[in-house]
Amino acid sequence: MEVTVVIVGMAIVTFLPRLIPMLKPINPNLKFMRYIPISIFSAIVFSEIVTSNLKVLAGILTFLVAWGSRSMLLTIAFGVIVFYLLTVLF
Amino acid sequence: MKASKDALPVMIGYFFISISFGIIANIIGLNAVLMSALVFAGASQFIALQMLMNNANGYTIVLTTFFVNLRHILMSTYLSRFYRGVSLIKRFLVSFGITDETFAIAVKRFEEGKADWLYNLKLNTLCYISWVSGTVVGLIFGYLIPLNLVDVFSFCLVALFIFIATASVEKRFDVVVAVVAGVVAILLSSLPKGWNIVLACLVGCLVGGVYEWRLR
Repeated sequence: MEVTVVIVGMAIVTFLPRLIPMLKPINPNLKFMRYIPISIFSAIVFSEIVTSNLKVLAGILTFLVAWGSRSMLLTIAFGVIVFYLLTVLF
Repeated sequence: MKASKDALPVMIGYFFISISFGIIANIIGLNAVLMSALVFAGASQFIALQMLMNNANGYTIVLTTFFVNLRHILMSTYLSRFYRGVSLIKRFLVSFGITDETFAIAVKRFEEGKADWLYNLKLNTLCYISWVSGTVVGLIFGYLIPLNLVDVFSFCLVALFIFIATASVEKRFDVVVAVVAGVVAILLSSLPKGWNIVLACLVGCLVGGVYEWRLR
């Protein structure tokens, strides 16, 4: 199969799951749905940082800053700098 | 709310990750840019690239991409609650740009009452531009860029999720759900990419749902 054709196929199967739920917006009064975002965010963070000790350490420090500062830009800037320093040091 | 300010950290993260994509994707040439422009989904693009290098069957690549990106159904379903009464064309445009990162920021701002569809579209578009242009830069100038720089800046996205996850804690039980979902994601990390996130989300919702049900 042509690479271009594969890419078009990838584009279609990626777009549909993004599009279909948006075709019919719903806001059902299902209490469990409020746990969707936090479950996804936490799952992404945990599975990403366990790949290296440095990321675990940088992740914990970043979490503390996120908790204390409540500022997105500060947290991200801190996270990148700390991760950089840790990779340089170790 | 200024979309550009919120988009900035994602743009930086996307830019460096897509540079590394562009570097590796050198073997498929300009198709790398086409993939970033049409698919716009990081993890699945890296996997597809790996499969293309191994001469995998085209259908297998498309099917794998579908499963890796299936988690967007959960995000899009959740996001749709903010799109009641918004025209179809606007929902269509916004839905193309739903990624883990744009979803995370958009949900936060919508729940704070600081976002509308245009904010969401600007956010998605800025991140998209960064993703595609990073791919071009990686493809052309990749050899000039030190890989550890890419690695360091990709931590932008991890830090973003740490912040958003922390900020979305509203009550004590949210922490329980977050830890359960995180641990499930780690335990299932040997599953094909993407599935551990989907299943962790479902388990998190199950635990949260049972808790809410017992409260009544």
